[in-house]
Amino acid sequence: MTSGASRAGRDRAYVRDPDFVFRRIADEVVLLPVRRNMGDLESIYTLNDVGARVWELIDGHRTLADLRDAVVAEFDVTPERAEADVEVFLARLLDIGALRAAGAP
Amino acid sequence: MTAAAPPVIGYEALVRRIQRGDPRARIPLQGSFELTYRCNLACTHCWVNLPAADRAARARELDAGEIARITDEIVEAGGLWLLLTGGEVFVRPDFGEIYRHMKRRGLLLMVYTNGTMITERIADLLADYPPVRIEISLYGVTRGTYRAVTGHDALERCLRGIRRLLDRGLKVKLKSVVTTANYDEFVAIRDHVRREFGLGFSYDPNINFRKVEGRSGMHPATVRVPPEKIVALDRVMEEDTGELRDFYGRDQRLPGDYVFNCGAGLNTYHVDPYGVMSSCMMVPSITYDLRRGSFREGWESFAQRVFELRRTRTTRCQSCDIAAACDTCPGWSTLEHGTLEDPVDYMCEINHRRAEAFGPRALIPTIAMKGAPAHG
Repeated sequence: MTSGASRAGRDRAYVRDPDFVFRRIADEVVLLPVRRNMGDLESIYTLNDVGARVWELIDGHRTLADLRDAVVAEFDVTPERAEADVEVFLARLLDIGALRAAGAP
Repeated sequence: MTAAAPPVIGYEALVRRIQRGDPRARIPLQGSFELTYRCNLACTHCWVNLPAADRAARARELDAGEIARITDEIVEAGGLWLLLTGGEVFVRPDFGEIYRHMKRRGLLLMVYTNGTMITERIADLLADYPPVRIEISLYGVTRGTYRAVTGHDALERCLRGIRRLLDRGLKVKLKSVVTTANYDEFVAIRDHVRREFGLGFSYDPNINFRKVEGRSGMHPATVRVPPEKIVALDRVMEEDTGELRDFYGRDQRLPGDYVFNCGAGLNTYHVDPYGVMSSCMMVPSITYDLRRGSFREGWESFAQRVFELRRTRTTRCQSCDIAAACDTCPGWSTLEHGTLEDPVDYMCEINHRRAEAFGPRALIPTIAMKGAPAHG
């Protein structure tokens, strides 16, 4: 997988795209694209607990390292595993257009 | 537990996952919202249409602010899929404001329309915020038939509306109610739709009794096509799909003695143009006024009551082994008889004739009936 997050490094922060809506329905957490060219409208992206927490923490300021540390603090996972997973997660969100790097147009 | 990449999931799969968590969890996942009863057309079969310029009706309708508030409450309660219908939704000048807000709150929207008011501006809006699907009623492909059904010379506008949506890559489904005025044109409509738009075409013989008064002289049941002619049409249209044969090949007995077998009170709800919430758009008898309270209060006040409603008496439907295939439901019974449980003869006859024609009991091979439209 192309890793935009990896390329950007640990110090880059990310901004959520407002054209993706984050929703909790029953025990499911989903991301829904609402605008054109934002993925297949019949597709819904599901997040697990960690993914949902990372999404909530993305605020335009927190970096990959910050997100990793938050995951390590809240979940039973090693820093190495957490960083690798958060990196993949961010890369996927960048791929589908749900995120952009802070400061990018 | 790791973050992982977000897997893509379809709506149906998501609903299955939610229901697997708790099959009896009453979450208002799916709803319908009639934004207005007003319409620019005057179809003879319609059960609700009021004139587009009906000031009294317009004054009663929820305004965009009220709809936004109800939308927010639907989302907060777990609503996900919502049908916008009417009347004709595009007679509302504030449709864009209403629609954008619903999309931005994360609802998956479907839109029913007659297609005649889809301007470039509306098409651009829908392309910018795509609905899951837009369903357009195409009542005929000749001016005379279209006018006979709708009361207006608006066929060209309808066809232009369809083209505008398709040109923008939107998902469109074309369909029509079968009435005495367009019955003979159905094969031509199907062929036109296939040739001009590359789409399939679905049809529906179900014409309800009127739900909303206000158009004098309109009696939709008078334009119902007789059941034997519906099945004759099925035979012609069935060639394409085989759906009815598959459908009647399955077990079609009623699953139990619940009044509602459709999800009403479990996962579905309806809101009318005036803010009255009910279990479905056809049963206005069990209601909650959303102008007086919140969506969640409304949902909790009647959801369980509706869901657990049991039959109070025996009708012929209980001993019918194809009752689950019948379109008779509490909504139809309410409109036709004012009760929740009485069978609707028209639906009953269509169902039994279809079972004879397409079910495993079918004894007679396909024979064209008198009055059947010619093969296209």
